[in-house]
Amino acid sequence: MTLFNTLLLREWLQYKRAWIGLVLGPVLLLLALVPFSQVEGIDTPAPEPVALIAGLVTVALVLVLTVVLCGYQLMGLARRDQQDRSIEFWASLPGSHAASLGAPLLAHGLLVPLAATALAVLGGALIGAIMAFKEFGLAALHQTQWAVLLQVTIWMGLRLLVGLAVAALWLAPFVVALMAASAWLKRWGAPLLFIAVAAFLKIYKNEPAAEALARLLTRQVGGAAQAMFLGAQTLLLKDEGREHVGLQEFFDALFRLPEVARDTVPEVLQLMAQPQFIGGLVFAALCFGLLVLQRKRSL
Amino acid sequence: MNTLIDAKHLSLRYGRKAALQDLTFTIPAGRVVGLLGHNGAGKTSLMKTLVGLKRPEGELRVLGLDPHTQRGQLLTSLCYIPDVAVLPRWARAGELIRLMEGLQPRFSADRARQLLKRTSVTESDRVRHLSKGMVTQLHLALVAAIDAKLMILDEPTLGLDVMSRKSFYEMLIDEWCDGERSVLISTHQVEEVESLLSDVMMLDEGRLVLNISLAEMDQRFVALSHDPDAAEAVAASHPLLRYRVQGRPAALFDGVAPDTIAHLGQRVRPSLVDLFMALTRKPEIQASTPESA
Repeated sequence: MTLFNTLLLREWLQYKRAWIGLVLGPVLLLLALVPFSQVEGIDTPAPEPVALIAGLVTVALVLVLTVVLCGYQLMGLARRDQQDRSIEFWASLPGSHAASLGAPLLAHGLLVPLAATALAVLGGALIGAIMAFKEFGLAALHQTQWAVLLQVTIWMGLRLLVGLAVAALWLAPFVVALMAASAWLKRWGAPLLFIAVAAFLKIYKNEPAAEALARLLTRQVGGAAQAMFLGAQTLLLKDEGREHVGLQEFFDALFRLPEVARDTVPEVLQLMAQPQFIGGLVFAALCFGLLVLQRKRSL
Repeated sequence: MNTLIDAKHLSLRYGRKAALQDLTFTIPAGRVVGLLGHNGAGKTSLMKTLVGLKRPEGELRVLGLDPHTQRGQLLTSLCYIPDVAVLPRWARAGELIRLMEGLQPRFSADRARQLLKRTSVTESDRVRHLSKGMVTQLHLALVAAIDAKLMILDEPTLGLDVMSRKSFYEMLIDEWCDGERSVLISTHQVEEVESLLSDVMMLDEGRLVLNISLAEMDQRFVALSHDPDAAEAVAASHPLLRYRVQGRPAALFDGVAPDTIAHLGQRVRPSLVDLFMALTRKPEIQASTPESA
């Protein structure tokens, strides 16, 4: 385990600046924008909606940036050590090729998104509080239901983390397959695989094989989407043609949020018991085997 | 364990091309072995085979282990510098020490820091900002801090200036070799390593054409420095190599020079470079059969 942890430490040492910037950048930017910001769409002057919306914007921004950055880095990871020739240094030390590839995959594919989300929730809470202070002043903050907001933040954070971890596993077959394509076919590998699958689906549109593949891919993406958003629809505030959402409706949703999060976590985990999910992981493991094979061949 | 490397009938192929052909040799403890050969002779292939990165045919035990199937275990007792330019360029020297501490169980961070102080590299220096010579010094400081029995160096001083090469070999001999540990160095800079070596192995087109201690080499190979007038007579005795020593013609023989010409010149010690030239031009001469030449 020391060896694997050290390989994770290597990722931290190599990418810490990018990762810190990934979280701190958006949080500091949003903090800087607080004096010029305004929350619209809620017609009642209460600090809780303002704080919550500002917090959600922060989390969403960090999450999107993290997914984009980690996805980009994962595509390059397959040939990273070959490109800078350091592969011979790493291969001269004890440790398997699987560990050398597994550690960065775990770091960029799971640990960084989870850590970034957790920190974004904290940053979002801070920005939310500052935004509420800016909108309503100190007096309003005294009347804010901090206990409820804290509970909501904790449960929302937990739900996001579980959803993100499970979604990452649902998406693992895509990610590792693209990485394997990058490893074997160099920089054009991932685009080529993407184009090949898209072309197959287009050309053989009504053929059973293409339909089966399309179903498979849709279910896999659907699994990831469910992992992230299952239960979210019950929290949606009804529009009913109005411009603004009522305070009562908002608080109803707010009070329901911890319960929805609590209830959907086991449901999200249960989704992993499907053959589709397990099949996806087996496929990802096969692609990982291709990555290991290519790393061995490159030495 | 006295024998650190034991290879029997070792062969390696890349498709149709034979990189190593039927190599049989041993390397005991406490030796500094030079592995010499032209480009493409099979030096790197042999080294990669010894550290388990290539799977050969034949029998191979390194430190009593099968390098391919027990590579992880082997690399805890063996240090390997594959090339001068392989340290990760993003890393600082201090970060590499931290990483080595977690990756190599026999690595001593204190020892590495101590060795680093002998160089002009500091812990805060990034690899990408170091010269080639400094990177090599750093790499040696890192691997010399491993309490290993065997060090394998694949052209470690390639592309370095003479000062950097000298510093590298000084540090290697002073700080790592202790009479029990063995080093296998492949290099093209034959003259510079000659004084460090206890043994030499020469590869030519994947074949081991010489495997001998330097002490034996002095006894076995003889060079005769002679006057230009004697050139024809010397050539008629079929020397391994005809060359010049300090402006005078010379001839290199495997064994003593024939009696018919011994009186025509003065016996001199052949250098490793001359022997290398002689043997890699005549690959049919086998290490195990000195009499056959």
